[in-house]
Amino acid sequence: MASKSDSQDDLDDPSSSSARPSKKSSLVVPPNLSDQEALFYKTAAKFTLGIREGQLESEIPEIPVVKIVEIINSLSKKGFLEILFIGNTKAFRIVKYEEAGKIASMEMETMMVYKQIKAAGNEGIWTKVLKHKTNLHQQVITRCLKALELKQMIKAIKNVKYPTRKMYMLYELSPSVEVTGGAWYTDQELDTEFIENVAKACYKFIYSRSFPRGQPDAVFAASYSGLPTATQIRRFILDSKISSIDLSLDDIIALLDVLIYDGKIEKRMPVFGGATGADPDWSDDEAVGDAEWRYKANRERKAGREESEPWTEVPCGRCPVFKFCTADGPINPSSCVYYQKWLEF
Amino acid sequence: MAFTQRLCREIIKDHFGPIVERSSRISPSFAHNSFLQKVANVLLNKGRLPCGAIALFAKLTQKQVRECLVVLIQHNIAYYAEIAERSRIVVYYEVSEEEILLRIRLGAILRYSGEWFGKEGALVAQHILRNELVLFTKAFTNMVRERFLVAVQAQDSISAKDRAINAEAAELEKLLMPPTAKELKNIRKLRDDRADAEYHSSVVIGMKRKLAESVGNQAKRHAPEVLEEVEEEFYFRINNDRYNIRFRNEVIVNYAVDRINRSAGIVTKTMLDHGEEKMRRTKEDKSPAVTAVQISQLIPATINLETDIVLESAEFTANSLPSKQQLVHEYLELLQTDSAGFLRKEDERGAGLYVVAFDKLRDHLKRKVLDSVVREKYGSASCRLMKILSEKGKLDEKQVRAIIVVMVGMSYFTTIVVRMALATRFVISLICVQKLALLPAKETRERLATLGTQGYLELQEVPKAADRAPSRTFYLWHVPLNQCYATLLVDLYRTLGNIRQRKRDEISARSRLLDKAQRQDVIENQALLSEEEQEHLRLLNETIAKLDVGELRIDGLITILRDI
Ligand code: SF4
Repeated sequence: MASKSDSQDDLDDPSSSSARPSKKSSLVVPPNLSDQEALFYKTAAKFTLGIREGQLESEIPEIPVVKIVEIINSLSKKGFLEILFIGNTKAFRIVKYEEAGKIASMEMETMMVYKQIKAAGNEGIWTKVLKHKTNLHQQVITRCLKALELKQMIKAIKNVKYPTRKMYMLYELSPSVEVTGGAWYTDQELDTEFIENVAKACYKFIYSRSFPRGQPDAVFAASYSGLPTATQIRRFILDSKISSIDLSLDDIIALLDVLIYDGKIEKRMPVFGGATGADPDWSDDEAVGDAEWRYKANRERKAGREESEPWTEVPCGRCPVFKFCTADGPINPSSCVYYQKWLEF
Repeated sequence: MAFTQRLCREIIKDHFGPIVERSSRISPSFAHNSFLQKVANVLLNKGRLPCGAIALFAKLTQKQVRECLVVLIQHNIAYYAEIAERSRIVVYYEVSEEEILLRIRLGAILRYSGEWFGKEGALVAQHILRNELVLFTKAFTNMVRERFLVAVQAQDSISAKDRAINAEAAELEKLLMPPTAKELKNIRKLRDDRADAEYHSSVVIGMKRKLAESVGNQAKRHAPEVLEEVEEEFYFRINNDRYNIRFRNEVIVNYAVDRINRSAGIVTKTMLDHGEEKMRRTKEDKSPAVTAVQISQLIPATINLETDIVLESAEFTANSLPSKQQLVHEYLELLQTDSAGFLRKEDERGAGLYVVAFDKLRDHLKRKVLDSVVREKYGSASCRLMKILSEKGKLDEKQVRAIIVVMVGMSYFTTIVVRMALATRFVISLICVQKLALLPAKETRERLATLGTQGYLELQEVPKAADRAPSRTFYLWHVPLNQCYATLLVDLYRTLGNIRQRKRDEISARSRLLDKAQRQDVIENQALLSEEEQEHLRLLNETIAKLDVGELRIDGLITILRDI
């Protein structure tokens, strides 16, 4: 049986791509299912998001199409299968055996609450939304949530975006990046020090690749192809052990964007036979074919010239009472203490 | 506005006030100077006035006022306009704030005239500025030819606006019937074109020239070998536009050196120098076009471009060095790909024509000034937030306004729906902001609020509920760039005013000592000053120098914000 051996493969080889079919470490097939039902159940279990209507035929060639509807109906009646709507196609997702048992023993309201929380997946659901969707009374919801939490079926989570909102998700799930904020967050707090360190390292690395070494005023020609890509920068960061956390490519790109906003580096189009350009019309979303953006450091300001900003060099530029200072008012340049200090030699 | 006026007053005080009076022969008497200040102040405060009214406000006689006006007009600070009121013609006078503010740069003008045209050049500029007789030296001729000095014409004393109105009136006069909107538009366009053509003509008025092709009415024709001469019946004045062009070009070259390197600066400078003759205004979009070949021919052979560029192509190995033309090409490529957008390729055919993209550079440099001010004053995180908002938050203002206008006519329920739609979009974008900036939410909010109160951000509040409670309101931020530049410029003017006032105070506090130091016998014999006095003098000089440097650097920012 082709499908069975497939799932076997998944089990044995953890590195195999599990983009769609998910690894099931221990799948308990509910008893009292017919052979075909069991087969369907096992196949569908490989898809966390549910198996699509269109995939059925190719995934389970053993079952004739006419039979499939029957099987689906009986499974869902027994509570082992949910029907989802993705766009305008249907998808079928299994309900785990132990879960099916738990749900079956729940009261009506608790089940409603549970289903909504489950539907929210790893994003979690806000109690307010929960109330809106289930149409239950607040007290009822609170009671249900308590009961579910006690049974360790759901857990409360904190969302970095809305720290004040009370949110819930299934107990066994781990919150999505959206919720935790990703690698830059430690305990839902932005880890600024960590960010700064990694940013500095990135900048140094890019800088070292942007200008020829040992010649202070030298530059590379426009056709220079040694500017690093985000992938290369990520590899450097991981190799140099600056971060103990595994930073994803997206994390690194977010950080590089910050460096761009700070004017420290800029994004360049890769070289295509000499004609290049930091063309502003290229929006970030247009992933330039397969080519990756390259990053170039901006030259640091030269020592000796413009080391300070002209305006803030004179006292008025950083004066806290600038807006109140007039020619002959109570605060005025003639009796100004900031100048007094500045002009002391 | 009040602060620009104040700076104007300070400038007038500086240039025509007692200090000037002491050291120069600009005008005959001290009394005259204080009158002049009074007249200028009245005009600054009240705007356009006829002579009688000025006399009234300044508490002077009409004769005195007229004398002052002559001086002001001579210095190109004041304009007049003849306006027919019923049967008689009334002459109104006004001072031009812009012209006065341009005088901040007189020091720089003097210094650079010296640098560009030798000692004589500085002298010429100085004499012209003081309205003194000038000898027609070689430097003078050069300055006229290169338009650093221009002949004064009668219309220079009429403000540009009045000139435009007069020209339009003259055209309208010719029509028999009141003009249609289209005719009016045509007339205006014609008028503007003509003014432009005049500005861009290659004829130098007031000079007998060899280069002019079209027959100018004053200029006589000469064969090319004949030396150019300045016509003696003309008066000349400093051409601020021309100086500003030079200043702008210098800013750009320096920036190329900073951003890329010395050789890139040389290439840029060569391009700008080449086209300088054809540049008339600083507000142009681009420089005259040049080909790569032209540039490499223009760069002197003594300059070595290759030491500071690293070429990786296999063709350039150690034994076959790249040619100069190849090097120039490489630099043009670098300048073109730089995100500051130094160069633009005009013509894709063949080797291509290159122009310096003033429009893009202008935006870039202005933005850089704003960024560095925000960074210095409020920290780099605030600067980052502003960048993100101005890049990602473009959506807001206009759409919001449009939607709010629409909302007025809708039922309450629809309003709420629209508001929600609008708001969710922005809430997402605010979260985006803090996410993109990698800043904690609280800090983001605080920084945005600070920038908002300082006028660097504009806030649009969209209340969700009728009670307009802050917790139920969405805040939409927007970066009004042009307004930021304007605010910044006024702040800089204000600072200059402060520095000047302080400088005047420092000088007048030690006026006795200064008087003594400038006595003939003391100049000859420094020993007449006590040790303490000398120490004080040294301190005063250092103080002034420090203030002057501050002033100069701020003027550099003003150049970028205003004149580029
Ligand atoms: S003169 Fe003094 S008080 Fe006034 S703005 Fe400047 S520093 Fe502030």
